[in-house]
Amino acid sequence: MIFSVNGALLDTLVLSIVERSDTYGYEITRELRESLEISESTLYPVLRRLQKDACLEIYDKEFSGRNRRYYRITERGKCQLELYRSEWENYSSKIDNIIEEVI
Amino acid sequence: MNKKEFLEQLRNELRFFPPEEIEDAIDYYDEYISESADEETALWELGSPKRVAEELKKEYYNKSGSSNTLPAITAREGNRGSDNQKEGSVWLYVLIVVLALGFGIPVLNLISGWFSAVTPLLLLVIAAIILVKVLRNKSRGYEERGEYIQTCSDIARLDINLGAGKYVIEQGNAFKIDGGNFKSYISGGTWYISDNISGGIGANQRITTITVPEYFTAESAKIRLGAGNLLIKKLSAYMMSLEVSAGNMEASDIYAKGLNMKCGVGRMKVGASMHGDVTVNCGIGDVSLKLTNREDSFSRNISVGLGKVSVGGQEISGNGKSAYNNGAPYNMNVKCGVGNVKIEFGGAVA
Repeated sequence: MIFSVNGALLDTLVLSIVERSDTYGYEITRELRESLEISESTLYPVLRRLQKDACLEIYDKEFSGRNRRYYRITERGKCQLELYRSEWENYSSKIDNIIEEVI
Repeated sequence: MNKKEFLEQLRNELRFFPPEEIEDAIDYYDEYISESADEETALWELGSPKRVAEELKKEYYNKSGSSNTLPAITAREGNRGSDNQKEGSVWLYVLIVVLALGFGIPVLNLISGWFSAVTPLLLLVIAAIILVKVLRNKSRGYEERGEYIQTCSDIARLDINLGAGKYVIEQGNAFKIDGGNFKSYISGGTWYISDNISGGIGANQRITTITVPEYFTAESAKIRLGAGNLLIKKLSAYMMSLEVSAGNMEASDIYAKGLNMKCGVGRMKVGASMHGDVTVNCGIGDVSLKLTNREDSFSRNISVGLGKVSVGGQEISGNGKSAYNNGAPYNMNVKCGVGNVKIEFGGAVA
């Protein structure tokens, strides 16, 4: 993969995944790694930060006798995600404009 | 490596994080590895605990992204840059001199035979100057005035030497020093700070503030105060060593595993929460220590000369000795010459 995924873009992806349905760390990582080349150790710090910023909240659910920590998107998280979505539309169309010209 | 070893090593890598951060991270990766169908593959893909910890540290220290609540370590580029600049400029010196000599000497020789006698001497002198400059730069580290910000991942220990000025040590969102005239550098994971104020009339009355990040627990913190005034608002270390010669030190919210206090002629007033041994050594001065711990957490060994020592309810003076071992988890050693030591227990941290 040539273009790196980090910072606000990674936040957007994580928030989008959790918005679709509450989910847990391993599952989020798996879904991201289906299409992107990010390392497994990248996700936890992002989840932690989003949680501290009150964009995600956590709850525990038992599964097969062990504990699973689920993430759920908050109102603030949804707000942030909307912002990111419009920003991405804006940003990606600008990139597309330039790239298309070159082609 | 198996999951248990991985988590243990990760815990070690994160040891300077706040305890709840460490637990959360360990829980997360414990769960993560358990979720995977194959523990071996999961561990292999995660990589080394060191690398996992690095990712966490990077995120914690990075101001990028949507966060405005994380501590910010800034000016990283700036400091590295200035460091490189110093290195670069020395080599530039050398290059210029070499070129000058390379071109200069043959020309001078041509001009006059007299010069050929002088050039070896000139060479020696120039070489000596360069050598001195390089050595001075290396040993001096860098001197800064005003604000100085350092990256956190380099620092595990503190070694602070203060003179006769006014100082404050507090927690904030970065490692920095503000104000005054000081020397600061990092070597082998230790942040060395030494202050150049020598006191006397017209001494710098500006307050020098040293800040460490809120979550920082030093592996060891050695703080020495000369004749000045130091206020430590809050500090956390595994091994804390506080020393005052003639000045005045006031410290509150000290969290330490081991505490060593030494007072010469001056005054020390400390409020602390301990998880280990306490040693107090007082010459002629005045020491007051308020611990949040219970009195019976400490075995004690007290010796006093002409002065006075009171530890909790026990008071000894006039060439007395007392050793009292109640099988308590921690030890308290108090040695007092002519001065005054007062140790109190079980109150709120002052």
